Amino acid sequence: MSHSEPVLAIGAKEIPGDIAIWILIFAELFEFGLFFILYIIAKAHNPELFHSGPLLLSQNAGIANTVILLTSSFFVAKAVRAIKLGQVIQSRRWLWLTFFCGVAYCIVKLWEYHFNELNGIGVETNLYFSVYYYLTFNHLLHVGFGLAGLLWVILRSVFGAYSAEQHQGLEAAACYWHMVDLAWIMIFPLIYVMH
Amino acid sequence: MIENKVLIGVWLVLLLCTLVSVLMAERADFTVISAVLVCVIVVIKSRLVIDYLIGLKFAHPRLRKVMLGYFYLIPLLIAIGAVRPDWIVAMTSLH
Repeated sequence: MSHSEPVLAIGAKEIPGDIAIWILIFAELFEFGLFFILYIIAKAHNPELFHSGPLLLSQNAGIANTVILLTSSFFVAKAVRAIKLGQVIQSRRWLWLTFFCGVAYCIVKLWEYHFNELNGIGVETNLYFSVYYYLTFNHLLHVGFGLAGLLWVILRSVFGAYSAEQHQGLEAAACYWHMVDLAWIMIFPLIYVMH
Repeated sequence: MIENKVLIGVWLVLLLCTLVSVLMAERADFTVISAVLVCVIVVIKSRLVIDYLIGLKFAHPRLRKVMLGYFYLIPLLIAIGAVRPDWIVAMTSLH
């Protein structure tokens, strides 16, 4: 076995990225899991607030961000596929598209916060909105981390760091980005749909 | 490696699932059944991302099981919270 193979590939199928990124992903999912449990408990104790809260939010912003993140996940999967085929330039193009989707997500989210502010909604409006800001701002921070990771991977790609044989770092950044999307898949129905 | 047409198909199904969730949110009579259906949609979407976009269906099986377990467990808890909020209240009240 060569030294470049991932640790968990021993006697089993490979893991995408490397073990370090999966430890980080599970730590992040654990953190989000605590937020989700907090949401479930808060909603059970305050059904009226959690019934009326989603109706005051911009559904369009929530839908737009869902479409953007799902599309970005598709783009980053295409980037990984392209690098596995040795198509370095195509892979980088898909990574840029993913990055722009992430930026678009941030713009929509900041517009949504501004929209809330115009409607007199803030962190201290009520418990529903405290949970809403807690969850969505935390997620926004993770989108920021994901964007930084993508930018780093794009720069490394420019300097020829990745190839069909060696693309562990690119795949690790892609896995982190998918985690950001998965967290949103859970947040979207909680915040915008289930009223 | 996941085929290109599979990736496109998965992306379209994910968008379709989102559309169904949105249509359910638009309904004035969002019932307990609607909440459970939304949780089922979350499971479907998560599984599609885990299996095909990340590619864990063809990768390390233990990693896939842990990921799927998480995305089955949390929607299940959300569904329980929607169907029997009184259980959640009873379990989390200090009396």
